[in-house]
Amino acid sequence: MTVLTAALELRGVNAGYGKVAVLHDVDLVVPERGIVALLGPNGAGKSTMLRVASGRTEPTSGAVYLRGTDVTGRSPERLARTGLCSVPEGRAVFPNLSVVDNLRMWTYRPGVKRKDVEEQAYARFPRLKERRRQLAGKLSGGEQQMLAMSRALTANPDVLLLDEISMGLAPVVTAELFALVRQIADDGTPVLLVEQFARTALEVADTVAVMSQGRIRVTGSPDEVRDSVLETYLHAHPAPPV
Amino acid sequence: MDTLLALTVAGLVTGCIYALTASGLVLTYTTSGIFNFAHGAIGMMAAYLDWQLIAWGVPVLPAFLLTVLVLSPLMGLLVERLLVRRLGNASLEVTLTVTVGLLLLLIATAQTVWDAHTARRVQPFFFGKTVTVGGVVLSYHQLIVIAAAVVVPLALWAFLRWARTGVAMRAVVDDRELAALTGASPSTVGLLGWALGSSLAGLAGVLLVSQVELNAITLTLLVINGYAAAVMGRLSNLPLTIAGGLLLGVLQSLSIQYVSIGWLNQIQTSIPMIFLFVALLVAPPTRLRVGQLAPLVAPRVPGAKRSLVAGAGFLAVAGIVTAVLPAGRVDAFTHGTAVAIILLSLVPMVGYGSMVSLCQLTFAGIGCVAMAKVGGGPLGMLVAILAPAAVGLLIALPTMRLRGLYLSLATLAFGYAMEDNFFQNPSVMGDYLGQKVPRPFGIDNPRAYLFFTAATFAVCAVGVLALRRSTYGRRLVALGDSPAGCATIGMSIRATKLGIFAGSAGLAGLGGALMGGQEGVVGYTDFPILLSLTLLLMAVVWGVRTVSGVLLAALLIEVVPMLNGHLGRIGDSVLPLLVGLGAVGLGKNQNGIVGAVLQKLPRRTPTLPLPRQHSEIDLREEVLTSAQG
Repeated sequence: MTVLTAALELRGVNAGYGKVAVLHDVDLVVPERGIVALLGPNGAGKSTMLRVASGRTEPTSGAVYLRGTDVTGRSPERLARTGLCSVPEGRAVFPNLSVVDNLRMWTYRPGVKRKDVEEQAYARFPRLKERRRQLAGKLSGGEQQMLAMSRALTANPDVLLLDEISMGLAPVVTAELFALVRQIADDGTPVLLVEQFARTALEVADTVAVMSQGRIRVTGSPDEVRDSVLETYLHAHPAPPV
Repeated sequence: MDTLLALTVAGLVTGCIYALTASGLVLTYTTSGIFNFAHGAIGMMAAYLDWQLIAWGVPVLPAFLLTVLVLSPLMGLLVERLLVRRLGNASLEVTLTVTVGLLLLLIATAQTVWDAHTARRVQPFFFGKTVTVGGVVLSYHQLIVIAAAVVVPLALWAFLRWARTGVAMRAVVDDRELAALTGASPSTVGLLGWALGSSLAGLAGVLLVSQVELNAITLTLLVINGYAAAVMGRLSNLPLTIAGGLLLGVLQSLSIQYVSIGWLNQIQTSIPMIFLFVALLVAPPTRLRVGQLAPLVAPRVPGAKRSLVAGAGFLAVAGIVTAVLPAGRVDAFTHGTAVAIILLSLVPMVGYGSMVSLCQLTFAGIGCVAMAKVGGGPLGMLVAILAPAAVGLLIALPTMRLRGLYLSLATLAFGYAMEDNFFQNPSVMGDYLGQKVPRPFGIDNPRAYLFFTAATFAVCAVGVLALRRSTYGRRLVALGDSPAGCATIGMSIRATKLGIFAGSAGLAGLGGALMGGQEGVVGYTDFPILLSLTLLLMAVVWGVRTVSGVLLAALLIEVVPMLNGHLGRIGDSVLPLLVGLGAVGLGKNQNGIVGAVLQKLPRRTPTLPLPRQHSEIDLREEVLTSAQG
């Protein structure tokens, strides 16, 4: 393995739905350590990019590398077993399964034991232990997000993809969540974080990439891009019609 | 008292079998989202395979195990791989049609391989051995059935509860995409669901077969009775489904002794369908789903001028055909054209309004009988339309809040019960000689009658197209696309739905009357529910959204049997085989064959094809992106 190997790399990715192209020649590198935040206005193509990275949408051209291996076109379940942990937008839990059953689903990565998952999850989130027999759908939004994040915590993934985890949560809970993401990253798991709200992401990220209209516009450290972010967001391109 | 107890126990045993088959149905429905209409036929096939194995000298127990644990699951696997996988998130009429096609295909296969005229019997397990429990004599076979109905659901429950794969099955039902992201394979889970479901259908079939004679249609319909139990469990709740199965068995058994309504001669056999209907009505209403986008681009609707020209052209062709046709073929073409009118009644209902009626032939039969009773004059014709329309309204009223699959099942229950109690009723059909049907307006010349039927079709077809272009037609399409959307803009769903039920039933009745007039006599077996299914299938395969599609379908229904004479016994299977293959093709093109051809033709206005298989969020993104770029 070379020193330059990235945890996750997208090279020249084009993707879309049917005849509508969404991503245009996107290059993105998630290094071995730290948090990469992907920012951009509504409809910039951030979620599509995560769909491509997690195998849910096949790129029309370009390639996806996981730890130096070409994984383009691999099914989401194979990617997940290989070590790519993707927490999709919304509450990434099974609402009609109990908390315990949800935790059971986190054990599909080879080497992840049921007992370890439960121990780690309960140790980090004691609230989940209290509610382990309850249906996940009956938990509060914050508790559901804890349950979703417990997968990232226990799976020890090669790379962690988070899609707008703060959406619809109280600010206090959001702050807690980002602290957790920071901790996961500091423990050695590379993170790709997609956010619409730039401020929180700029605080927690090591590298920031700004997208609009299916292209990556700026990449750099939070301080380098801070000024250009809002510029890109608000002025450089016409606001999307809503 | 003893009779009551004995009947209750016998009913419980039948109920156990219903419970087993219904659990299998629920299992496949929840894991794949597709209501497997062919579930009953899979059970039937298993019974035949079991008989065949025993006939080849395989001992009873190995034959039983081989059928239930290997052959039946194998059928499920094949169906999943070859059919279900292609369907993706296809519309209801397509998924229904494909599985109905499979049902007919399996029945045809069984009837071809195992000649239906030979009587075959399968002995019950431990034939002749009985025990007496509390004054009730139970055969060993019945004990085995009860044991299976206790052990299998418990094992299933334990598997779903504790095994990781079982948890994964429930997880896939909950959120397919997330399940894949955790590393569980939804496609493997789908396969497993179909294998388990088919195995349960097979178990039910094998347990049933010793109680009735081995007959493809009887067995299939018996297993279909179990659908009522599945509906009581809302197609998702296993304990309720099992309770429903037992209740149904007991009710049916008791009704044989205690229910007799003189003029409804077959009310006992219809108990499962009455049960199904009631279960549909009392179950909580399905919630309207918001934000669904119809994935289909429907074929273009011809304008007034074009449809009139096409109608005139059709009449001209019909005139020439009428004149030159050999005398022996005239009746077949008349019959085909009358069937085309019945199929035409599916176009506004299924094609425009996306309400899948499974009992269109029942309406046709009502129209036919009504005209036979009143006479062939103008009054008779009027009654042939109004009587089924009134019945259509009667069906539409209680089922007003039902949608999609549940509405279809309600029409199935109605058509099935009508077959037993109305069309096989001596006070309706007369004695075994059947009911004489006059020709409308006394047109006795076969060629003149053919032209009259063709002209009726042309007028009705132009009328259906005009209806589609009207405000009402647009409402109908809107209702099919999104009832929630209709409600939010203040459109009356009720009036639209009542109207389409009445209108479609009336049109079917007219077709039925013309068909009966050609046949001269109709009898007990002329309006079976299975034929309704075949008609729907042909219409959808050829294109139920287009008038030309249903016309072609009707002609094919008439033409293919003409080949039978040349193909021998295989000939009977040609139609179902073709239909089954067509159903497979539907997975690829959901507008049917004619719809696919029409879409290949150049259009005046370029359209943006809506991509399939992604959520509204993606669509929103895509719309925004295309608006920007």
